Amino acid sequence: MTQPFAIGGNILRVDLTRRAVTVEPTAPLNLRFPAGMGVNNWLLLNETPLGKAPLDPDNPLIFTAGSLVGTMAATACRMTISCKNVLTGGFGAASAGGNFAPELKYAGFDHIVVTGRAAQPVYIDIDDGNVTICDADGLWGETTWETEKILRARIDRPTLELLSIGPAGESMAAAACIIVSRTRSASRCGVGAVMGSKNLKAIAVSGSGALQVAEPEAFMAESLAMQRYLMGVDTTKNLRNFGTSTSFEAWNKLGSIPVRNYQATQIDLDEADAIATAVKEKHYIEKAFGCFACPVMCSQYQRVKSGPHAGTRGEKVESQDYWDFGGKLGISDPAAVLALSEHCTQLGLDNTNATNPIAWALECYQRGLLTTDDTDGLELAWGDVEVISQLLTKIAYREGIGDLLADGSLAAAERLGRNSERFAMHMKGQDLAEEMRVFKGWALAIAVAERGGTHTQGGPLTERMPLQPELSMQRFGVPTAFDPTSYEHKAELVIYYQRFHNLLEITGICFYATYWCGLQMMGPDEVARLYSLATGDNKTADELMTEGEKILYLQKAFNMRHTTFDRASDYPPERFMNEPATGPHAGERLERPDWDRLLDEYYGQRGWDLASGKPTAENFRAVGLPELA
Amino acid sequence: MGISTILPRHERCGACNLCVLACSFHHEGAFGRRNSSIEIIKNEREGEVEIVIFDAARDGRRPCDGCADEERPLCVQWCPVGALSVKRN
Repeated sequence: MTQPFAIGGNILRVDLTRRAVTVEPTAPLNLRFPAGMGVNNWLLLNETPLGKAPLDPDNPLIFTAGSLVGTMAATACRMTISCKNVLTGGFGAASAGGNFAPELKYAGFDHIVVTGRAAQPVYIDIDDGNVTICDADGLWGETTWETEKILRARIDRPTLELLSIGPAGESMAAAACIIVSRTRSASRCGVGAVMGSKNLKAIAVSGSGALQVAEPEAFMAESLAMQRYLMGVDTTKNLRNFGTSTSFEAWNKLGSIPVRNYQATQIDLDEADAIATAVKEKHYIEKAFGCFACPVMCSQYQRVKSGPHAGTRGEKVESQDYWDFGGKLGISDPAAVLALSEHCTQLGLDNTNATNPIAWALECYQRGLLTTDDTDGLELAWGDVEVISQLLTKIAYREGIGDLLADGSLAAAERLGRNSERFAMHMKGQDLAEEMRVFKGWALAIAVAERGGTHTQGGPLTERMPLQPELSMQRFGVPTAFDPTSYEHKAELVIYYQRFHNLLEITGICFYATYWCGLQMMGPDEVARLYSLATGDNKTADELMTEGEKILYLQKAFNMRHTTFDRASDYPPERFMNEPATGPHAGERLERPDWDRLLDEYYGQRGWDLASGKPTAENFRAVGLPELA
Repeated sequence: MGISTILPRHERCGACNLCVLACSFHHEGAFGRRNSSIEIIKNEREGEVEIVIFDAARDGRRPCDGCADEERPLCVQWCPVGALSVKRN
């Protein structure tokens, strides 16, 4: 494996303790691992010291551009940021679109590895090969938007791209994210807290270089054909017209929304209809934007012109924001969801990891486990926009009850006691975004995800697609990919999507242009063609899926090295087993004997040890990682 | 400027930068932003975009030559939202 083309070519290392910058070629590592997620995960595994807490300065924080990023491959713009997970203590990674990752490659870098902790707050300025660690005078304490504004005034270079943390990252809240290009968020796993722990406020990059591809004319022809094809697909048209938010109503009809801290799975149909109407009739949507090289353009610029949230404006409010605010916290006003989402972006808060502890607090208050004595006098109520906005601010600054909530719902419950752990909805310590009771493959992927509680590591959407068993067999080799509540063959389906998602993270292609979103979009074959033509590393779809499998093993190895995760860690929260769904699948829940069997199948498909849920030495050798055996 | 003039419709632009990359490929057979005759300047706060087309060399950039050797300018071919059109001079 080498990637002679479409590559930045270098790994940038910044030791903030020593204020030292070094550069080394990507090539030696790229001989064994694909650029992007492959090299990233290998570096993380090998350079994270044992026995250190996630916010220890010795731990690395690794920024990585995908292997196709910077080319014209449709949607190839994404960046992966990895670190020791602040919430789980295990593998952590977050992904973001925007323009930063391609600019990093134009500057000549595929990865930035940041270690240490600066004595004073700093930012890193990358101007091609000239890398400077600069004092963050006047930046510390500022919101992400203000930080970007100040830096743009301070650094006068064309094609400047920025990422930064807000007050949440500075206070090392586990819910802190990293904001990229002002509108994109690298969320989950506390990546913003790790950046804050290094006293690193921002990174600026601009690059004057250009990327060659292996077969220029063929790559251009293939890319243009793919772009035009994608633009004719209904899923693309829907995403461009409305973003991902239209799926909220559809998922609500299926009874698959986390409602009031997962006490139910469907909100009032009229409330969901009001949200859907606001989206479809474009009450707030003004224009669609794309990330770099993206013809899909799912990012809707929205503006609230009247009412209590007038003046709210910004991009990239997703369906998941409606789960977080509309479902979990009971806010039915879409303008309020937009306003709170914008509030989070400025504070540098990951919406999911911030709202889940708030949902826990609201339920604790509902049940009398928290009172105004615990909440700085705030009366906590579902759907109270003002109170929820205050709680978000308190989390970001660790003020009062915000300090209790800032480390996630599990940590909050452990501190509070009072038998409140049963209301902390998490996997492996990381707060959940997803309702899990109805869709069994979806639930399995989230439960076993190495980064803890995420649908972006193998969660299939096929279970929500109205398709036939024949197509299921043809595409996935199993007849049940479209059967919501069946447990049958869901282990195989999840393994397929785990490999596919990792394949996409290798390339930097966005999930929203692929098989994940719609089976008419790019699948492994299409991605492999683009990858081979661009990089010169000729790979079939199967070979790239195998690389995706290897990446999962790197993540598993990280968790085996740094955590005590075992089979018990792959069981969903008790609530999903004991309290049934509402809505059309009323009564549906995850039964323990079914889950036992599903985990056996999942581990068994890979030949892992059934008792521990861990790979064997032979498994590691078989995927080409003998030193991890 | 060559035999064609590229006409931008700023309000249509979704800031995907595909035109920028197509232009860089036209000039150098490689993908970058600083070797392109087009720059996309986005104001994320207000949701506005300015498409800058360089008609003279600047800061190492080559001027737009209208893709004289192409049937249609590459930026026009690649724009997914019709934000660029061509006027033959």
